[in-house]
Amino acid sequence: MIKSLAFTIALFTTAATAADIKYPVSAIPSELKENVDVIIRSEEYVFKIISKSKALLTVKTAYTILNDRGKRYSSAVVGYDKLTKINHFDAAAFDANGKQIKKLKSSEFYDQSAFDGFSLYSDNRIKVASLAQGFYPYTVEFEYELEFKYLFFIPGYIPLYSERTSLEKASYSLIYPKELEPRYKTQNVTNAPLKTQTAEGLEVINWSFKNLMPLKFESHGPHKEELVTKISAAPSSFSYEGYEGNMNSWDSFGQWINSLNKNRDVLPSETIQKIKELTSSLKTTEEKTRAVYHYMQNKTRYVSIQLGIGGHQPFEAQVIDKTGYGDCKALSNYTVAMLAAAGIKANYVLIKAGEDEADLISDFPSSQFNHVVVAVPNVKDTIWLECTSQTNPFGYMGSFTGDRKALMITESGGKIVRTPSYKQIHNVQSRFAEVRMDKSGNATASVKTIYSGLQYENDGLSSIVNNGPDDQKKWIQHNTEIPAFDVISFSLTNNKSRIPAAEVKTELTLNRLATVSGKRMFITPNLMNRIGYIPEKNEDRKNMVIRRMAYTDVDTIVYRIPEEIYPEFVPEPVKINSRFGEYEVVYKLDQGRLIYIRKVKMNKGEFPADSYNEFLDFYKSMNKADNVKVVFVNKT
Amino acid sequence: MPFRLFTLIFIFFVSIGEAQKSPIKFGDIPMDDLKMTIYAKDSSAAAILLVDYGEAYLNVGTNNVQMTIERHTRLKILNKEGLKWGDVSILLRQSGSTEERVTSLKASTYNLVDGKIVESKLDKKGIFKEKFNRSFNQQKFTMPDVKEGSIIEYSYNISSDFWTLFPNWQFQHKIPTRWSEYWAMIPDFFHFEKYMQGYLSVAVGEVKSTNAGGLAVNAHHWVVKDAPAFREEPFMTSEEDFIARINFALSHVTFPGQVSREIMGSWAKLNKDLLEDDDFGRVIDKSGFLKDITANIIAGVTDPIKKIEALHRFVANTIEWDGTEDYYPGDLKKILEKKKGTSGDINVLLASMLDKAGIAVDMVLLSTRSHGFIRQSYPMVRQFNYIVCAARVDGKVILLDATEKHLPYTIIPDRCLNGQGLVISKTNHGWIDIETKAKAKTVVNANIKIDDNAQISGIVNFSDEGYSAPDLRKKYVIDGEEEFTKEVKNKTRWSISKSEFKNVNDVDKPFQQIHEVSIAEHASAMGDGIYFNPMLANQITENPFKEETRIYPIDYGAPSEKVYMCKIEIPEGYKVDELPQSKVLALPQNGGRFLYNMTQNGNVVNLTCVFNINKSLFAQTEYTILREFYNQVVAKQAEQIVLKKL
Repeated sequence: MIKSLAFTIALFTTAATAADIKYPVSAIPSELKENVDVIIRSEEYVFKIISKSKALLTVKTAYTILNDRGKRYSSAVVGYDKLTKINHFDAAAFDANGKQIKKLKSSEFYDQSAFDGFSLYSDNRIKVASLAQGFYPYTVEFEYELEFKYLFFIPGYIPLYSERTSLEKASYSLIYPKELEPRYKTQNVTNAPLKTQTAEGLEVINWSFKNLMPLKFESHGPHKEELVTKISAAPSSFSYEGYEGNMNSWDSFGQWINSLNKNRDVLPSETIQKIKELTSSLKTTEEKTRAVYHYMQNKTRYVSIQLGIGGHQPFEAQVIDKTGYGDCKALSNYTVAMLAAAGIKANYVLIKAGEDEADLISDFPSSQFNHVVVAVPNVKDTIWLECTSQTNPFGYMGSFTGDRKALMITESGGKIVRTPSYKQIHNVQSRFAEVRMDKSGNATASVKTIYSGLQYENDGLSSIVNNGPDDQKKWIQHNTEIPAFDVISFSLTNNKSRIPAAEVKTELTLNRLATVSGKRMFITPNLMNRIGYIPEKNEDRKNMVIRRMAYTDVDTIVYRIPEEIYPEFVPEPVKINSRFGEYEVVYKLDQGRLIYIRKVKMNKGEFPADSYNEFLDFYKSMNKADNVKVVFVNKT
Repeated sequence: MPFRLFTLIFIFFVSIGEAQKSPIKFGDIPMDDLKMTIYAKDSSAAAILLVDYGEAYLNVGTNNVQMTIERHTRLKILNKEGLKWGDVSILLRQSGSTEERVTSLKASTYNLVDGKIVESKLDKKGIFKEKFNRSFNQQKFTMPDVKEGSIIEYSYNISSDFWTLFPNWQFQHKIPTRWSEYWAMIPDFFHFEKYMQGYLSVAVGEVKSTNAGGLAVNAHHWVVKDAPAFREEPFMTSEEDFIARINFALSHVTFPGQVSREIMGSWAKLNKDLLEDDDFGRVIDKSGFLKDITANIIAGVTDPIKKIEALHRFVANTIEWDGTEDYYPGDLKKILEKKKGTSGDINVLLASMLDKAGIAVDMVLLSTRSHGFIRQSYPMVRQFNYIVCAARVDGKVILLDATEKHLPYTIIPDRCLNGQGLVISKTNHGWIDIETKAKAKTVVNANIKIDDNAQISGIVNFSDEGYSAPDLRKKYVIDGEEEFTKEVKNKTRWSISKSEFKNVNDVDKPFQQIHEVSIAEHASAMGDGIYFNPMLANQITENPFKEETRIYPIDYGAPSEKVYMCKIEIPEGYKVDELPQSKVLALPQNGGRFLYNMTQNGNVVNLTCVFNINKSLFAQTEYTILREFYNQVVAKQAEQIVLKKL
């Protein structure tokens, strides 16, 4: 991962004496107090560019917290590192009347390494001011100044980001010398900025906001980052630990990355020799790339170390060659270097990774990335390589990096590209099960399921398939959605093709699968793939409905019925077509067998807001059909 | 406060030195281990600790004691999942300018390349040290060239001034350990209490008397062979309780010719010390400033039980618990001002107020469920992490805890339900069962009718008490009625036309929700019949115990009871064709009980279903029967009623 660039930054004020009455709750306009947990009383962000390699961020915020749910606003977390200094940090709390009840002493701030959960070592640290009180309401005020020894990243501003929060007033300013004028981009900002000058002759551009009512987000809609009011900013010319650059275009951004990576692709001659031996007999680019990728996967492991410029610059390829570990930058750079040794041109690609990340803002060149992958141009398509995993199938870009824009670094700079998207026909869960019932309602079953494309990642299957039998059994136990069962035996097969797939086979004992009531026996023929989810009601849908993944599920379940019982009631087939997808169930009875076939195809796409009820009904109908029972009667 | 370090004037200077040896030689890697691809004793293992060797000894100087810990570890990486064991982290204590240090770090990775062993030494660039928080630093290193099949070996020493916290040794880890060995070299005049925990047996457990520079030293030695990987199971208290480990606690120090100095002493001594402690026992009888406040709260109340109730309510409603589990109070005056405190602050405040109200009260030390069991044979205060009050009225003991405002005074939080607690008292000192009559109880009462379109309508009444209630109350208070009801709708998929809530703030009474419902998708029409499950709520739909076997005990915390009562009116023109049969199940020794009682009276069907878990703790030997109990309950509760057209 690339070191996270954005520290959560929030706040500023004039010095307050204990006697001051500040932020009395009575001063809040009453409409801002309805249906909220927190009122942002005031937020002021000032980002001041001093030079190409120095900037100051002054923050002052005050929040009135009305109840338990707003508690997270009672603390402020400020990150710093070797290149970012906290000049001062003050925190105070006020009661409902606005009387100061607490001011933190320096010893009361908590200081800790910012453990991100995956970096082995980084110089990021956090300072935490916590002002939680045992009563409500109260107001907290934080004020701090950060000094950056570089100009690379300019914190943007989002006045409201959470539900049940309103805002009384806020202001965001950029101050800069004319020659270092930053760029900005706004979203949902209606008022034009105010442009002035400071006494020292610096330019000022300022936005202010007043009395904003709480937001309400909707499920299955656009990413909230795309809905909020937002100002993004980025420098033009900048300098980061001596590396000068310009961010006006993706090309110039890419050139800066090229300057960081320069001469870091040198490999020891033995390794070059080894790569040549490994690939010379192979014919196609794909074969050669696969060989190099597997060589890299077997030789290295992912270790994240982020120090200073090391948050953006890879370790040299020869270091990785020697130690066998590195982060996404280092391993990608190493892979590009080895591919070059095999005569294949490959590109380093910056990407915004994560399962639910909002899209890259492609018309605003700025530092928006947290990960690096490799792209290998091929005859017809591009081969994409995730270099931080020892087990990722060759060429697979799953939910972490797939289906999104990314910045490919080229010799001339940078170019926005799109990573692969897997289609309905790729993302398939296909199951065949034979269930052998006895007359008392017990059964045994053989189940074979193939998970492919993005469904290869279902509940972490893509990693479980590489783990030991204990973990695999646990996975099966959690993903066999039958009320009570015993796993008799199982096996998993991993098929790491370009569209990867895993096959899971299980033998199960299903005691009391059927519910027996007197002479009748009930079974739910949908053995283990019920939707079980209905989106929440929404009478007044505002945003369009978005489905982000297309997939296909097919379940064929064959029930072998003992002679003594016959079906009393077999449900009608179901077929539902909607713009969101198709659902179909058929039942067949023949020679002591009941065959249940269910096909679900879900579409990907954006649908108008007024289709939401249809969306809900679609789920309701599927849900109802999934829970239908078949009734058998005992002849005897 | 915990241990106050005492100053001793030492009259010796002795170094015990490296008396013992690691069973392996650094870099001498057996070919069999390098070639190993799968661990025969556990085919699941991603890595194995081949050897984990440790030795800790005390160097006694003229006026200080120094501790050295030596460690030598060799491990084998079997697959890619095991690569993470190539990143090592050592936690080092730190207090002010005193800190533990790692010295003589040596580390290498060994790989088999073309039949030859290739060694890659740890690069200095791969070593990092950082401050973790106020009490700990962290030294980390990442091994080079780690692949599937690699062997990693490292050794280091830690020099430490924190010798009173003699290091415990863990024999078991998340991966199997083939050989785990520990030497604790303790000079004759230091006495440590030791106890072994976990379910593993030792291959070697011995004490040797040796002599180092004229000083008698007891060399305690343990070896555990083939320790399996430690795996967590559901319904388990704390990993701390079950992992195999030897624990040390400094008991006393006896220098030649001097009187023995008690460090740990006995429970009786701890009792006495705490009672006399200005920051603990004395706090309760002092705190005169609480007199007036207390008098105000109980003005006019004569019944001592009512006094207790009022004071408990006052503290629980006024002071917010900050989530910290401890047993020492801070400055009570400030706590009352801040309206926020730890468990120690809150419950000592409650005790002080009870004392001012003339109620006999003692403090009770305990260890919460996540903190682990108490081992009564080892009088060590660090076994405790929590405190509650024991009030006495007419010879009856009432345990009190005021950290949760949503619980009545009669119920202590379930985190406390972990065996026995120690009463700190002049007169009543001793162990007491931390028990409660309360359980997690949910009662659902449904009065519904079903029409000929298979639509259900009627009234469903939920009543939650004991440990089932506080979370609901909290949710209701924070989310508000609208949000709460919306969630019920989303969870049940019922249409709710009207809801009523009762006893929201009255914690002594059950939290009640009464919903007027109509349900479209519960019953199904088939041909000339209708079938439906009479359980609309409180149904156990799947067995929580998926594994066939169990290693550790099953610990629920508190007993539980789920009751479902339902009166169903069937539509005119229909008759009941099939009714689930009544059923009773019981676990041995009254551990649990299930009752399913179905009756019919004309066009009305009545179901009473009761599910009880009466014990909070089940032995692993009871697992099979408990699992089968759930299987049968799940099956019974899934049964259907069938109606047929006349």
